[in-house]
Formats: sequence, structure tokens, C-alpha cells
Amino acid sequence: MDSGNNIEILDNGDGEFIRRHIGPSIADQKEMLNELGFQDIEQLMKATLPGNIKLDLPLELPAPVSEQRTLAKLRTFADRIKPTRSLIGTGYYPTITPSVIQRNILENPAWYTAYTPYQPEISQGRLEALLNFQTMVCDLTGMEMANASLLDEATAAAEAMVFCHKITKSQSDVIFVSNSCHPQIIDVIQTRAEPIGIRVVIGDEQENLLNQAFAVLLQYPSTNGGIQDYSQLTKDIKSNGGMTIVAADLLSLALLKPPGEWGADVVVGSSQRFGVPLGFGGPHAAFFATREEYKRSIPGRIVGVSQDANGDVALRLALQTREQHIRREKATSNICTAQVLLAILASMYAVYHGPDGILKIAKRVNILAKILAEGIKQLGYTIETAAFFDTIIVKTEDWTHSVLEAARVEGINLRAFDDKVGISIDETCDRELIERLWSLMAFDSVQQPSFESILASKVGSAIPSALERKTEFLTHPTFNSYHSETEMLRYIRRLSDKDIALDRSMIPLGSCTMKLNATTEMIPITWPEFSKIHPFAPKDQVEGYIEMIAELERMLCICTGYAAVSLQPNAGSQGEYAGLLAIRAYHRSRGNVERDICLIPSSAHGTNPASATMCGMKVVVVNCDSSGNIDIADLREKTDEYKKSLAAIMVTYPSTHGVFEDGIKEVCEIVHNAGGQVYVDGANLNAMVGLCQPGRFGADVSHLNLHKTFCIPHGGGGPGVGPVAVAEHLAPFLPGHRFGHSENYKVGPISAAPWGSAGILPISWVYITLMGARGMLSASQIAILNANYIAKKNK
Amino acid sequence: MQTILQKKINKHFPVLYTGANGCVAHECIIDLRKIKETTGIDVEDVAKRLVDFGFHAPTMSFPVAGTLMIEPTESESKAELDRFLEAMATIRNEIKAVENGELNVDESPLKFAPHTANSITQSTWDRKYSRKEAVFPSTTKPEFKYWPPVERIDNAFGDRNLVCSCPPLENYEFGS
Repeated sequence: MDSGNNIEILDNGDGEFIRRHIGPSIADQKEMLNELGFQDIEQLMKATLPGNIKLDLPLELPAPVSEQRTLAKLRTFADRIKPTRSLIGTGYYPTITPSVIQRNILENPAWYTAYTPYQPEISQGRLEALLNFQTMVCDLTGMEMANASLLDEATAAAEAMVFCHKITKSQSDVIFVSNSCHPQIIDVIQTRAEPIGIRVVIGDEQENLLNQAFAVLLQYPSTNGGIQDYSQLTKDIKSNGGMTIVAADLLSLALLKPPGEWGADVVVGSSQRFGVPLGFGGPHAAFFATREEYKRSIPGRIVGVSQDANGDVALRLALQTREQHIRREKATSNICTAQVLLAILASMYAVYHGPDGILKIAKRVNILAKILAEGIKQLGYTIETAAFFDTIIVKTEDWTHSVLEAARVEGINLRAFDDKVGISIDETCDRELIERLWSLMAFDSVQQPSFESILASKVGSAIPSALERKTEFLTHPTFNSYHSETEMLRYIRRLSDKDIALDRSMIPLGSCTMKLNATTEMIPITWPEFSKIHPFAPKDQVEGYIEMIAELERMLCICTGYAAVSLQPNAGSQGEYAGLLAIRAYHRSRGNVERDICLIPSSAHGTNPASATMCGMKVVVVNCDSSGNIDIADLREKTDEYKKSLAAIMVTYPSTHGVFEDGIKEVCEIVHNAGGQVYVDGANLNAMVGLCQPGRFGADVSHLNLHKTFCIPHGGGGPGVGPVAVAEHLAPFLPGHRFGHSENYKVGPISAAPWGSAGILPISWVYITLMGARGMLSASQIAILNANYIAKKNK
Repeated sequence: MQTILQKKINKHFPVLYTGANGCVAHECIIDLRKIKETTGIDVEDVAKRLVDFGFHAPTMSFPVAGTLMIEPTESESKAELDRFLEAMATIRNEIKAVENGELNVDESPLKFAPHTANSITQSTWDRKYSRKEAVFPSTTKPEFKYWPPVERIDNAFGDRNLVCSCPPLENYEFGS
């Protein structure tokens, strides 16, 4: 054995992962290249990519790192995250993911590597789980029809706004938003309303409700925990021709009269507290429920029951013609991705606990909150919230800072206001915590309240009897059959056995990039440091999280050649929307308000025109020639015609036809010369990393799909992450967030959480770290080799 | 193996678009519109037949109606690509049987796909192809076999009779 071999044997395994990620062995690659008539991979790249965009130098990413060392590196970030008991509430609550669900769904590739159930025959398992989700949402909200989830509570509320605007007979363009909605919901509503000409009026619905609003948005219970009887209010709204949207807490509805029973037209909310980890903001499944008469206008996907050729019950996505693939610029929503994996987690939580279990959890939360409130009153504080489910606001006045600090010393986060604190109780709370809260709030040496005596005193109900739930829920046998762990385990297995996911075979879906989701990439997402963090936790507790995110942003800038990235968008559609908003804000900042034309090639994905419409842009279609490329002559004609009003072009590269168009640089130049910005849809980035960079060949903005190119699994149709990447001049117009880096921003938030689905960002960080510059390049090259091999051999 | 495969396949599926040098990027569109015109077999039939081989179908009719868009990604091994190619070649031969007039289109396994365990274990079997061809087409090995739980789903029926929450359990009664 020569010494060279010895050194190789003794290396630390860095780079080893590349050959685990890439399917064909070196020998196979040679054979395949040979069959295609190429000497080496370089030659194939030369034949595939236009010379004028190809990168000469490797990406400035670090060298690849072994799986073990990568996790150790990530650990150094995790060590600087302090999981703290967060009683901040505001739409996010600590919860217990039942272990049988965590291991057999969240950590199981049979579930997380599945694709959206567009091929229903091989998706019956996840379709059943989603049907359970819809049933659970309908039961708890008291509504007739629910979709299979949306991205988060705030975007669900925004979808509801657009939905009502479309179907209402009211001529009004005003939505009235209750000032007791969660602040992030109000912020996202404002971002989404303005470009499409909807005016948002925020106020107290009991005092100055606007009569002429086309819709009213209420929070139930309110962000401050209060519960109000809205039955008369919804009647008044209705008689004025308006619709009522209610953002509701799913768990509270086990005890509270559901909005469907007091007149709501749409109910939205988050199912996060049904066993879905906080994840520093996401991913979580939001829900959207309404009345059956509005079924054709419901955004997102809906699972429906049908039958197969033999007449047996079979499930599939219903009413698909509503979706933006078909409706394009007429679409009112650009939503494609749902949050399937998370919706399934939440539905399984309901299957696992059943109606009695859910009721018990809700009662326990409510009783603990009542006892807490009673004790705090005994300590001499005033409780602002009269009727409540889980959240109370305590008037702490001059003591506010001291209370917040004392809580932090105890490892507890409370919601901070100027002169009061908010405390939200969740299913992880117990007597010990309540007593700790009392003792840290007892500044004068008043007597510590007694848990027993408060409990024995049968404190009056915190829920008015008119608002108590009287109806049953989760009555279907599915929610009443699997309460032993063995039964639950087998139910989960029985469903996943019906499906094809990546753990069974190749899923060769064009434009979806169903690549390996490596186990090492997935492991950190259930580390408590990443999974148990409230999105609005104080910054000093999450330094490691923010540094990991910042490093991922840098990596993505290097991969794309852009100057800045926002990870806030929690789906590709949202990244598109954020990118177009940035373009819009940029033009406006330069006084070019009239620039509102968005050119879109006829071959574009249906999401593109839908996103442009949501930004208030007008879509003009550019033709493609017979070989599928953008018709340059037509492009010149259109840019001439709209020289004064051109905002942007949206192109996909490589094209949706699967080709590196030679003319891409020319397309960019033509549009820039006409004063437009170039949006390159990054859905196909998997063919470009290390080979060319949209930020270098002339594009101004792209969204990327971390669930395609950067290994976040598809989860059966979500979660996704759709970061938006921009050139320097657009960086100031990336979406901000009141709980993000800075409170000063030019474009408002487009997601509920500052970093969107932060909880799954470690997946992409791990992938890029494992692969390094060399591996990322190799991935793109072999993706192209494999496609050409298929193309050639299929001919 | 490859050469045998190639011999078996005369003409497969045309690739719709390529770049200047005849190459595709990371995905390719194969065009089935001609086949549909001459035989009545469409992308959905091919997609559902792939299920009998244990494959999830490629993207259907995007961005061009009547085509399949295939993206294998870098993570798939040559063995898996070849398994897929073999399935596609077998399907091409099944289409050929219709082209040649050996089978009417409504007798083709492509139209009955996917095949469930239930459907092939009925006492009567009046199809023009064998039970084995139905569920173990070509060289599909038992250890690779995926059994779809349902036959082809009628989309329109469900939209006409809209039910979007759990149906009563009696509806699931086997063969009801």
C-alpha cells in the first residue's frame, strides 16, 4: 500500500457525503456520458449552457464537511439558543407532539418525502390524513367546508380578505380590522391590501365599527385573551352587506361556541398548538373554513371524496379548476403549497387525543388560566381580561419591567406591553409553573396565593354561559378509535403504506426537484433548540438561530449571485409575491408609480401571473417561438409598446420547457433598456448552482425554492420555503417584520413570522455545508446529466 | 441489459424541446400528443400505468398539455433511471399493440391502470391481457411491487357529489 492510500483512508470524511447525495457512481457517470457522446461532464455543460452566462470560477462556498462534523458545527449555533418557556401567546403556543406522531410522521420519510397528492391513486394515505384535518377544522369551527391548510394564520386572514372582496355584493373597498387581532395579522393584511386597492380601517369593533366595510376581521379569542359575544355584531355586519371573517384559536373552540354557530362567513386560524412544534415561527398549518355556497372561491387545496373505477370510495383533490394553474391572471390567490405535513401532524394529534382528550386539554388550560388569574388578583394586581380562555392581561403598571425581568430570570417569557404583561397558558403548563408565576409577581411581601384553596373555591367560569360550546365535535369514528399507542402506530403505518414517497421509488416530477432529503439534514429540526422557540422570543435568547439564518442567507447569495436574501416567504408563491412587491416599491421610490405592466411568457407557471395580479400589476403575455423560447421579436414589440409603464418581466430559467435559452442575457438587456426589472423565477435553480448565477447574468430578483434545490422535503405538499433574493438596489425593499431585525422597513411583512418557516432552515444549511462548493456544482452537473440521459434513452 | 433494452425499443417518446446543441437542462418534456391522436392513449393513461411499475408519474400536462415533464434530479442512481426507462419502454410497447391493432384501445392495460390486488383476484378475468401482465408488467420484481389501494379515480364524480369531510364508515365497505 502506498502512502497516498493511507492518507485517504485517514481523512476525516469531508466530501464523503457528496457521493451519498449524488445517485450515479463515477463509473456510471462515465458510462452515461459515453452513451450521450460526451467525453466528460465539462463537455456536456458546454453543450448545454450558453457560454455567455457560464461561471468561470467555483462558488465561494467553503469546502464540503462530513455529516458528523456538520452536525457538530450546527450544534455550536444551537448552543447559543436558549429554549425558554414562552407564555407570549399571540398565536403561538408551546405544545406536546405525541412521541408516536413525532417519530412516525415528522421524522418518517414515508411522510415527509411524499409529493403533493396530484396522483391520488398513490396518495390515499396522506389524502385520508388531510380529510381528517378538514373534518377536524369543520367540527371545531362549526363551518361546512375547510381546505387542506394554508401557510400561516396571517396569510390565511389575507386570503380571507381577498376571498370576501371577490364574493361580496358590497361595492365597498374597505375592510374593517379589529384592533384586537394579533399584530402580525394586521400587518400582513395591510401589506396585502394596499396593492390591490383595498383600504384597511383598524378600530374597536364595539365602538366604531364601520358600516360600509365589505368585510370585518375579528380575533376569537382576541389577542389580549378576551372573549366577546359577536352574534349581534355579525348580524349587523350582514345586514349592511358585509361578511365576517374570524381568526380563531382551534383549541379554544373545544370550549367556546364556534364562530360557525354565531354567524361567521369565514374562519381562519392556526393548528400549531395541535402538536406542531413552535419552530421559531413555523412551519405550521393554517386553516380556512367557510360555507359550502362559497366552495368555488376557496383558496388552496381541498381534499374531496370520490370513487374509483370499481365504485369504491377514493379520495383526491377536489375542484382543481379553481386553482391558479388554470385561472392564471384571473386567479385571486397564488397559493400552491399548503402545509400538508403540519396539517397531518395536527390532524393526527386530534386522532390521537380524540374529542375527550382535546376537551380535557382545553379545560385544563382554561382552569389553570383561571387559577392563575385568581392568584394574581390576590397579589393585588388588576386583570384586564374579564372573560378568557387561556390568555390574561395583567395591569402591572410601574412594576412591568420588574415582572418581565423576574420572569426572564426564572426562564419564562411573558408578553410585554408598556404598562402590562400578557400571560398565555398552554398544555405544557402545570401547577408548579403557576406557583412560580405568583412568586415572581409577589413583590410586596404579600402572602403567596394557595393553589389548593383557589381550586377548592370553585372560581367562577371564565367563559360566559352564552359563549359555552354546546355541540359535539370530532364524532367520526376515526377520532374515536386509535387511542392506544399500538392502534395509533398501526393507523399511521397503514396510511403511509398506501402511498408512494421517495423512500419507495424515484418521483421524476418536472419542475419539482424531488431530490434526496438526507437524514442528517432532517435530524436537527427536532432538536429542542430549533423546534421549541417562540417566534417573538427576546433576541438575546435566539442569537444562534439568527446567526445560522444569516449564514444561510449568505450561502444563498453566493449560490445565486445576489446581494441580499429574505427567508420570510414560506412558499415559492410568497417569494414571488415578495419579489414583485420589491420591484413595485423600487419603482415607486423613484416616482415611477405608473410602472405596473408585468410581462410573462406564455410558458410560465400559473403562479407568476397570479402573483403579479396580487401586486396590482397588469399581466401582458409574451409569446414563445416554436422551440419554446421567448420570442425576442415579440418581446421587443411589447417593451416598446409599454416603455412608459413596464414594471418587470417574469421569466423562468432554465425555462419551464427545460431548456437553457441562449437569449437570456438579451432578454435582460431589452427589459432593462425599457426601464423594467427582471424577475427570474428560481424554480429551476437546481440546474444552475455553481454553473451560472441569475444575479450575474442580468436578473434583479429571484425567489428560490428551498424545498426543491436545497433539500427541504416536500412533506406531501408543504412545508415549503421560498426565499426572495435581490440585487443591491432592491435590498431596501425586502419584506420587514415588527419582530424582525429592525422595526424600520419600507415593505411590510408577507408572513406571520419574521423568518417564515425558520424551524426547517437547518435542513438547507446542513445541505450546503455538507456539499460545499464542489458538491453543489456536482449536484447541478449530475442533475443535467441524468435529465439528458432520460431524454436520450426515451427517444 | 442496456443493449437488450435498446433492441426491444424501436421508437420511444419524442422530446419536445432541446437547447441549441440538442441538450436539455435538468428536466425534459416528452410529447404524447401524436400518440393520443393515433391511439386515444393519453398522458393520464401513461401516468396511471406507471403506478403498476411502482412509479410516481412525471408532471402531467405542464407546461404543455398532452406532455409529461421528467426531472430525475442528481440523487437518482443509474439503476433507478434504467428501471424507469424500462417501464417507459414497456409502456411504449403496450401503446404499439394498440397502434398495430393487436388490441383495441379500451382493451389496453393502459386504460385499466392502475391495477389493484382486488381487481386481479376476482374469479372472472375477461381482459385481453393476463393478470400477471396487469400487476407485474415487464420485469417488475415482486420485491419492488407497489400495490395501489384504489383503481383509477373518477375526478368528475367527486366534484358533482362534493364531500370534503370524512364520510361515514359504511361507505368504505369493501366492494360496496
